[in-house]
Amino acid sequence: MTEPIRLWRSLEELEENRGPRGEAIAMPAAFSPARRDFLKLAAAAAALAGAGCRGPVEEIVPYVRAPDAPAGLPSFYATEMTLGGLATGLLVESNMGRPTKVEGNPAHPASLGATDVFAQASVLQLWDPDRSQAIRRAGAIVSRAELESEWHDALAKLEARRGAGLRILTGDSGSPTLAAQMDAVLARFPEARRHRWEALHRDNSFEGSRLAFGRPLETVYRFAEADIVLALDADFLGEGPGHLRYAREFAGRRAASAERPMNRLYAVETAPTLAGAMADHRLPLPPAAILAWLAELDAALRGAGNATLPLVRAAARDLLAHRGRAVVVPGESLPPEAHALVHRMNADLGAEGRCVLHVEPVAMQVNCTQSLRELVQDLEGGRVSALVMLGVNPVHDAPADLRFADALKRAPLTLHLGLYEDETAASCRWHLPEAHFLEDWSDARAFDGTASIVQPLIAPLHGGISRHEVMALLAGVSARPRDAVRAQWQRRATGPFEDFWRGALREGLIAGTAEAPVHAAVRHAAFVPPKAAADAWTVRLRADPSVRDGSFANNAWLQELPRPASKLTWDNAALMSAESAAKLGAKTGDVVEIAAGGGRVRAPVWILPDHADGAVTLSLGYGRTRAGRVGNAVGVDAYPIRTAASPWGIDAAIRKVPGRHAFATTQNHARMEGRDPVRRVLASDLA
Amino acid sequence: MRGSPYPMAQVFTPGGVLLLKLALLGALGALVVGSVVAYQHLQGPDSLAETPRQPIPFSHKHHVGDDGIDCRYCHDSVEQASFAGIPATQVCMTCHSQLFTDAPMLQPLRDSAATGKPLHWIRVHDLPDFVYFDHAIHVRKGVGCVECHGRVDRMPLVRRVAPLQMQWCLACHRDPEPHLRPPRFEFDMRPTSEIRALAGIPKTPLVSRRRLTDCSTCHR
Repeated sequence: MTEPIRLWRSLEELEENRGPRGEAIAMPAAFSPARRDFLKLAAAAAALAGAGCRGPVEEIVPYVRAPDAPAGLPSFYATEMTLGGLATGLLVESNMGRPTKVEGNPAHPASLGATDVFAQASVLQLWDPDRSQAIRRAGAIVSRAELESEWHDALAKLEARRGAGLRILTGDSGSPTLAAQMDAVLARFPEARRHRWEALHRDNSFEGSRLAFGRPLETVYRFAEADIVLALDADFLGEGPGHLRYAREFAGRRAASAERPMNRLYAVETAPTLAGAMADHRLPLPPAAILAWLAELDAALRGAGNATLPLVRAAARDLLAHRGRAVVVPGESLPPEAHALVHRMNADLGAEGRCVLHVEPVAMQVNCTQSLRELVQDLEGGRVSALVMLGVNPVHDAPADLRFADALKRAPLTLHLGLYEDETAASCRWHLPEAHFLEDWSDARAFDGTASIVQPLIAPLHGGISRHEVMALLAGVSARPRDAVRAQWQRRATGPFEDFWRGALREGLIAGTAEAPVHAAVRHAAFVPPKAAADAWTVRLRADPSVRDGSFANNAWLQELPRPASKLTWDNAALMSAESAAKLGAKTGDVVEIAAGGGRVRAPVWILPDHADGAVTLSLGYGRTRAGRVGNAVGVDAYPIRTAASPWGIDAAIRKVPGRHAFATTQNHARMEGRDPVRRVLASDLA
Repeated sequence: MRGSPYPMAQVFTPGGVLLLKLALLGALGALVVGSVVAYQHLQGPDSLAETPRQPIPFSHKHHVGDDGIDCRYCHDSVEQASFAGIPATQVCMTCHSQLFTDAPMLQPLRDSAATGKPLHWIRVHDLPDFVYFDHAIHVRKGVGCVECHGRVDRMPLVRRVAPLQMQWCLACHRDPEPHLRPPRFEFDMRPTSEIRALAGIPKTPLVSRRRLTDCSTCHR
């Protein structure tokens, strides 16, 4: 009989000298009660037996005034979750007034009925007992009246100076109501300024479209039209604007039909991602080499140059043979010049208008890094007298070289609105508990511009305050969030307003609000790939698949969720290939010190097959100090090596340092343990 | 050969050994007695007969037995949902805004209606949280209320008549037919045997007998 193929699913399994039957690994000694333990248990049992068992007394608390839905049957409401300023439509299940489960809204263009892990876990975030529960001034709990009285006085003084020194820092937002409220605040305080910060900003994309089209534009892909897709360090299936829709469209083309062949995906990337795992052809390259590969592809597409790098010739031939049905997708980590080059490539390949559309950006697009840098400069220059921060945590996630935490101490009056009493809350005079999106009225827009109303499923559990309420306080008006949202849409509604309003709430979107594609001429921009320093390590920093930028760190469902490819739980790690680890003299569980951008991080090594050599991938969002009981001190904080100039990949010096770390991974779970309920034989043996 | 530098002393005196043996025997006896007592306690009729102190001493005997109000008037989701439903204050007030409007017994109800604060009833039938129970499917398959809840039409204060233990559930799940009654008689308070003699034996379609005793049917 032919020796069956040896299969393995983790490096430990590969290294173990196992026979073809895969004998079991010795499990840790199971519970073996010693005599003392036995006596303890016996005593406990006797005590319990003597005491007897009684169930706890439970109460039934019926409604006073019952809603239409019978008790015990769930109702579903359409609402939106916003991440990075872009909305995903949801249908949320409510059992007797309590939201319990989140699913996608099939009618919503960014969902099509699907959700990502963050939407699924958002319901646990709502009920998280570690959420901020009180208004605090300098750490002490105060009443809302005290908040309002201090701020009314402060704002009156600011008004006398036309608002000079008032700064408002928010994340990206596409909310029309928030934009209108911001205008109202700026009308009251003409000298006030608004700043933006998103740790997972998309500056490279928008600077790239500025280079290519002269203005920032959002790129919308139509993977249903694409026969050939080339993803350049772009996990368009796992993250980023529209990824749920893209995954559906892409999957729709995996089944070949008579009129439409199966699509083909090329992925050139550093660390394995969901898109890479789906790719027909995958090439792992460190960040700098991806740019060199892109330059060579550009030459090959224009019929020039002599391609030497792997996969260039095949990809170029395939892209050219499918003109109009081929698309190149650049990842956020690529520099703006590379984005501009890809825009030109897509135009040359005839993808524009077919596989690629451009629309006006949904969230107002300013350069986040530049905006935060200006704020820090003004803080350091003493030009900020009052700083209001809405739903952001820059003390944790601002670029390390901007030294935001130090600059923040210069502002005399600071206010932070957040779901948690996080790192930024601890550095502010005022902290306000933020209303969760399932407790709040608002509005939001999807990546393609589709607008929808965010409606609450429950009254704020801990007296949470909406960002619309803070904006109303600043503007000096009293408008409840629902009224503010209704007032905003009363101006834009067609037909009787109540019909429009009820329809928008029921459907979860407002029809006809998607942005129309714009046609922008592509400018030719030169692209010279930067020279990669030989023998230098590059650290690729990325959003974590489970905690994102750290804002979901206190969510146990997400911490417990095995990360794609590595199957790690409750951790991040310096992901690297076996060759890279050998070069460092490290193996899985060893600790390395990464020095980059003036900062140092010590992270445990995790050897990940199919990772590019010469690069290390580290997830952001761990090592939190004030995330909550679940998220504190989980993993290592990668922000100390993240700089304003190199947010996604940075040259680093790496060395092995003493220390060991134990990981919790699910990769080896549910093995057959040598019992082989599933057997494998070669077909030839059966013949 | 020299002995140990520490001479082997007698650790236990004969009296000590006896004491130890008696103590061990006593512990064993206590364990047995304790187990029996606990078993009796869990099984025992005491907990069944108990009527917890409710905010209002609501009488099913009066409302069902004397007035003949249908179960579903108050337990309105029993045919559609897992939870039978406890009436909202508003439902009680449909009658009690007119009847017994100054009975002191109903003061908590009037307070609830006035303040909007709900009544807090004590649960009489409390299943462990690891058990899934659905009223709707039981009613739809012809299990009458009286099967599990007993003659509530004769109870001034509601109490539990069934042990609600797993073996009790399983006894019916293993052999459901004798407990089923024809449609339209689910809410009839007369015993199942009487109903079956009167209205015939139902032909209730059960999807699968095996499904009834699958672990995941109740432990989801």
